[in-house]
Amino acid sequence: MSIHSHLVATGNWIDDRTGIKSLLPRVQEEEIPGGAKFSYVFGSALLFVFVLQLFTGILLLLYYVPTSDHAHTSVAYIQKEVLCGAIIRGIHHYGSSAMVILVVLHFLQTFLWGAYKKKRELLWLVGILLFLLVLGFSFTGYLLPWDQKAYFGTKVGVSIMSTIPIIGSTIERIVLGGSNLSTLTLSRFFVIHVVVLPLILGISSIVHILLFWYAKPAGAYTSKNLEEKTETFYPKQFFLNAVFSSLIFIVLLSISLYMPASLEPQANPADVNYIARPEWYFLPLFQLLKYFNGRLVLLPTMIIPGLIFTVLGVLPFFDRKQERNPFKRPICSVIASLLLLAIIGLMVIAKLDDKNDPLVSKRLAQQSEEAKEFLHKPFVAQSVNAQTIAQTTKSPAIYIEKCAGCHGNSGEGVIGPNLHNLNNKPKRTHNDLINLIKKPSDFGLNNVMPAFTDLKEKDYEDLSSWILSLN
Amino acid sequence: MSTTNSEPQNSRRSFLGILGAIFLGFIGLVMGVVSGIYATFPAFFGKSKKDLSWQTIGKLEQIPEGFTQFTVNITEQNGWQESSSCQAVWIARKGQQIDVYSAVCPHEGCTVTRQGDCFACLCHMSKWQDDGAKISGPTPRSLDTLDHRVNNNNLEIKYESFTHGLEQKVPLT
Repeated sequence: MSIHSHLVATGNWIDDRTGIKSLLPRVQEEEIPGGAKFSYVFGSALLFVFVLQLFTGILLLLYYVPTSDHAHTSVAYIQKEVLCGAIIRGIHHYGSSAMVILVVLHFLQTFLWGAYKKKRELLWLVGILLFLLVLGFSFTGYLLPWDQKAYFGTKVGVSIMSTIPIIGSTIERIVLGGSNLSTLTLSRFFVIHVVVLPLILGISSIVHILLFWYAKPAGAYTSKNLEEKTETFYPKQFFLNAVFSSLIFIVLLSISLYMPASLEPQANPADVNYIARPEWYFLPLFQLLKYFNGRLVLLPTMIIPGLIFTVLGVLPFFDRKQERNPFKRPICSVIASLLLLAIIGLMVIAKLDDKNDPLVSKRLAQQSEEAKEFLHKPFVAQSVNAQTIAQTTKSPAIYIEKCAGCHGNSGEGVIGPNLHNLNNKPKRTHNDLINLIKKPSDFGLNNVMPAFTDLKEKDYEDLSSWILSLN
Repeated sequence: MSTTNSEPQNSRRSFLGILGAIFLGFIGLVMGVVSGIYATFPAFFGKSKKDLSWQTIGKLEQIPEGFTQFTVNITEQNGWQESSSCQAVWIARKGQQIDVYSAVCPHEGCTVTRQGDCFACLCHMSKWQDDGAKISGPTPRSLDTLDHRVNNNNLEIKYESFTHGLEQKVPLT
């Protein structure tokens, strides 16, 4: 028997037990209006990038830790240490941009081709939900690396919610998990990003695809021969989809290799000089925010985006003519073009504003320099025990002044030895330590540790007790 | 769909289908290799920094006669985390003769204690003599000895872990 006949036999065996072959023609024999085209690839490309995001996202979870004290270190570990980590993170990072670009193209095409009209209203509504979910993914994912831009960017994003009248501050508290952006906020965003949104988006995508199968592809608005010339999905459309997805994959892979995803230094809430900027696709909203103040701030944050999506959502229920040619639907087409122009215009103005302000442009350049510098510094593992102790018992002021230089802020050891677990060792009782600090040479520490003879008696007591508490 | 199923169209069908599958296969292959390396990194390529320096147990005169359990503090790097843990060792002293044994059972890694007048692992009931030689039980070898030296009148040891279940003592890398 040839390999081929073995495969066929195996296939038949599986089909006998699953009936899978009866499902396949559903996909294979899908009729493509006007024949296979490159302009029909966007939906499948979105599905492809979503699967890629799921896959790389699951891999990132292998090392990522969603707490404010470890998140940044674990991301730095993935980016700098783990082999192929920069690729996985890069694909995930740039994949989010690809997702936004593709969702906009898919959306725009459906809109211009009038493919949302009768019979496809629900398909269109689920599509809008998917669009919003994609934006939700990028908003929640932005915080997870816990670097400077994650922290400050999210801070602004969440503050926007607080501008909603009456319930705004309550919503903000719920989103933050308290009054500050903290490790609790990170947990919330993490759970929404990796559990809640994927579930909703996964189910919605399935509904979207089922509705699409039921309604059949609308096809391009034009070409009189749409009815005459049809072609099945397999093989040509399948081939074109595969080509386009591979292209996206190669682009994402190359960018990840040649322009590693950025990682700035760990979030430092006390940094007063940091200038927060959102991801490029949120720039139009960000720019719009500059033009309104006081109560009017609700316009760019809630009312305008809310209005746009509401109008889009109810569109198929009002626009009921079957005409699909965008040139014969002037109102829709003009409004859409203006909206698109406004969005691109705002994006450009946002960039120009930053470029033309000498102070801002200098600081932004500096920040990107700092990010590059951080990315090139070798990875440093995080000493975990020292951290836990630092959080439970605060070191006495005299320790920071006299000892921390050599033994580290939490006694973790720098030039001088680690001071933890000293009570396991002989000749390190409370009194021994006091004597050691006064005269290290008595304890065999010749020429290493200086003698501290001029401290107050209470300082010796405090130092010794604190050091012995380090376990 | 055109309903004719002529020879040339059939071969064109399968050609495009196979080509499309090759494109997708390429993505799968690249992602497979990349994620395989990424996921197994700590097992094969990761730097696990081990602390093999000499650790001071204490002054020689503070080491009691007989069998005493001491703990040493081991700093290890595991992935992004550097952590220290306490490990137990047995120090057997008979006058000037000192031996140091790891308290990790060479069988399955439980902790070795003293029971009566011998060493024992209470997980699977292995027993060793005072000099670490095997008496009974499932253990494949004697207790693992650890390097020690006397420096400046201090007893110092080098803590190491060894592979379980082998008849020879093989350091874990």
